[in-house]
Amino acid sequence: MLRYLVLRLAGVIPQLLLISLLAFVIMKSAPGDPVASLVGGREFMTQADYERVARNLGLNEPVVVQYGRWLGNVLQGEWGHSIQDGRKVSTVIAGALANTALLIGVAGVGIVLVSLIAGHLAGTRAQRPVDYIVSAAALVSFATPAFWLGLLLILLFAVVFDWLPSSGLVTLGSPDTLVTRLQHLILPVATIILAHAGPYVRLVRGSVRDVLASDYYRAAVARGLPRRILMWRYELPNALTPFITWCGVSLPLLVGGAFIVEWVFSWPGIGLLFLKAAIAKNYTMLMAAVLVTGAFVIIGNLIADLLVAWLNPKLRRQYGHR
Amino acid sequence: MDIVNVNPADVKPASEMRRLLRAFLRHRLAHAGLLGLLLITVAALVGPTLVHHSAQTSNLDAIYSGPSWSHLLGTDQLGRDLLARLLAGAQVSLSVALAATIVASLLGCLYGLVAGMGPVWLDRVLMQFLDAMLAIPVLLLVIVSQAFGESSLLKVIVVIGLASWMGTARLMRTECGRLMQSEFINAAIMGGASRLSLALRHVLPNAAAPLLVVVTVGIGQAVLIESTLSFLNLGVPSTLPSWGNLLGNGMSSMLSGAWWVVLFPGLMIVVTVLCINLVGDGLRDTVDPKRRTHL
Amino acid sequence: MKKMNPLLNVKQLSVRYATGADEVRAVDEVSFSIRPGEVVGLVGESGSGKSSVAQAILGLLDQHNTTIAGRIEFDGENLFSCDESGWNAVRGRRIGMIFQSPESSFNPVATVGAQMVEALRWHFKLAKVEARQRALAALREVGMPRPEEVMHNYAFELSGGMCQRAALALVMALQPALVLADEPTASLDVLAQAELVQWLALIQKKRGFAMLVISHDLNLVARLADQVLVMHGGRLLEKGATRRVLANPQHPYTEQLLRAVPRLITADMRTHNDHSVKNGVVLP
Repeated sequence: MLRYLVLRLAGVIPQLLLISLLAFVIMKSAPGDPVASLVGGREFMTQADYERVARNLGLNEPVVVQYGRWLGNVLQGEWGHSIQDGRKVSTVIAGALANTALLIGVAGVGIVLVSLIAGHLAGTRAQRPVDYIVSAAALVSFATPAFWLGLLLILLFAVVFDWLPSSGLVTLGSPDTLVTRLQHLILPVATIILAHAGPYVRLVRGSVRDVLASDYYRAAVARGLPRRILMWRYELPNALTPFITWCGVSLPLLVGGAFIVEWVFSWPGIGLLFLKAAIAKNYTMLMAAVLVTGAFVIIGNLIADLLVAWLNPKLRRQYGHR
Repeated sequence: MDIVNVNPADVKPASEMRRLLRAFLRHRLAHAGLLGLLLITVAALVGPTLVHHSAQTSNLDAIYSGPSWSHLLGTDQLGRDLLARLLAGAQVSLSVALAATIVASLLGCLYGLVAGMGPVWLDRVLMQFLDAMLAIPVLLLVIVSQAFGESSLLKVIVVIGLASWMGTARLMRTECGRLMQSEFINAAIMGGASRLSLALRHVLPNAAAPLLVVVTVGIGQAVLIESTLSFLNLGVPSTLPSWGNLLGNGMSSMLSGAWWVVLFPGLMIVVTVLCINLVGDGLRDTVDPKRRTHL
Repeated sequence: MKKMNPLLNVKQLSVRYATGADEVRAVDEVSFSIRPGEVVGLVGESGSGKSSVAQAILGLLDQHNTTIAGRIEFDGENLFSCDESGWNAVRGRRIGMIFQSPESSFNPVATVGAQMVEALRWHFKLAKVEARQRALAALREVGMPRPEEVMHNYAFELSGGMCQRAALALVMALQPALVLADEPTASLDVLAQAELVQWLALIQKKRGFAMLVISHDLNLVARLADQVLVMHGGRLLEKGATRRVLANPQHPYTEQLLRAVPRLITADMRTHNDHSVKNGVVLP
């Protein structure tokens, strides 16, 4: 297993490199003069001072060296200050990351549950009413933009019925309790699940059908094993591998969708930060958001891959471990 | 001549293509999708001439008026007729999606062909880069790109295209690997075919069917990306009506009780993408009947 | 032979598959019976409906697009009136089944041992340790080398022949009264085939269970079966004692089938004087 981990970690390096390059390019292409902005304008500096400051900032060095220095700073957590309000970017990002992790975490668990249950129902009752309903719903879900569904849910549950809060993490002016926090979670989480579960459901349905049509499943039925065992030891474990693989592969899609949902519901996470930064052209923040998102996705992918490897006996055997 | 040495694409037009077409036409859901797409396309092309209102003329006396006989789908925050704007928006959204998919497909095909037929080291490098690209959310890429500089229709198309070529490239690379093993390619190599002619005459035509599936589904995804970008006001210039732009100030419209401004453009997106996906599913089932995914 | 009540009695069995608008008659009014301890061979080319018969006996046919008519009695009990728990008591425990492809008939994510223990525990309500011991004993019974190790192996780690013997052990461990063997040797290489047939014959003699051997391989059937059924196009064309049918086929199709057996085997087998050879088939 350790060998697999090392091999897989080596594959992460180009991904991290690419994401950091993207972030660096964002930072470098910020309009304006970084030296002049330090003192509020070019006209306040002599030519000599200007050049000295530029040298101190390393701006006259080759781009590769600048990238190296920038990477070093980033790795040490020095991400600079937001050009809008001067707050430390790392602090802002850390708080937002927790909120995003909460949102994506809860929604992710929801998607896993919904797709496993719906996929099981549809797959085991292929071409019956349950299957038609689930499959049709999955098709529609796949075609629905998350932001629009979010707007509809706000319209229905917050505007028309006034049952649930439509924005933010907490309601200003009212006590911050677990209940209100949960209430604020409901609509954004529901939006992500409904707009994203489609392909997951279809995948599980397909794998369940594959398992049910397989020789080993038929052999197990012929052995007289009860439904309980068939489901938990045959259907689920065998359908799980393609499912987890897909979870890893589709993580970028899910994260992208969650960002828009954060925007629609003013959920104070990385996505909201990122989109606000993109619209306000706040490049330091944009860079930081890109870095964090990239790292988030890459780590998620890694976890999915390791899980799949751990679940797969062939890989487990191939990479040692008894 | 040994039959396995014949390029399958040379045999196809006679029997294989007709068989595929017949199988596709038997696919009932694909029928529905095709019909829906046809209706939407016709509506986008001739619809604007049938609607009395202009998509751009505002009418400050009719701000947020609900669906009625004079405005079938109601009006928006400037009193513009929503139906007229939806139909005009269909032209913008569909052509952006189509153009972006063409950009992505060309790029993806080229990339996949180079990786699949070029030297091994280049293949390794290109596939590593592809994998790294796949780890970055597409929305992140397009939003970052749109955050720089002024927005234009051409820029949106190029940006969406540049962010969504990976699926096609991956498929093309896989197909190359599969086809390069086959007998007829070996025969062609023995016959002294150049790399270029191999790629254009043998690999590309034989990968056409699965490519078509990916490209079709890609159009639907491009519609979704464009609408998301435009919704965030980072897409097509806000002076142009696109389905995403119409939803752009949906939040404030909704709070004014103008639900129609939010509902109808979104429905157009859902129905369009649904129809495209149905056709894509139909194509996939036809090309690869063993992996039937549909109902 | 003493006249006994049949263990399995198949009466007028018909199986029809609906494929789109068409309907395929896979099995057409087939009747036969198997007495306790008797080995019956069911031969026919692929697509003759012989596998559908076996699957119908265990109720394995997809109920959604198949219609089954007729009656199957096992030990006096009508199998078609079984509910789920009724089936679970019959399948595996009373009627075992060996499938064609050995590797794919094991769960790819569980070890051979785990699957044996799981079935033993379910059918006999055993403790884990005891189930393990019985599984080991079953593996030894089919002559599995290093059974302890095989318990921890996945199917993909075993050779085809080993896998099929493990499958045999799994079936044996549940002590069924009837074993359905659906093309048990079809996907094995020649050496593994011969070995498996040997073990199958040996264990059948020792345990005395009844067996339905389904195969297109006349030599396999001749080697194992007391009675032979010949199927073609879903219909049962001929049945009778193996020697009689193979030596003196009544139906032209049976004759055709016999003529199709490769001659190479005869030349090789003729040297064995304990076998008589007729029409290319080694007779018992």
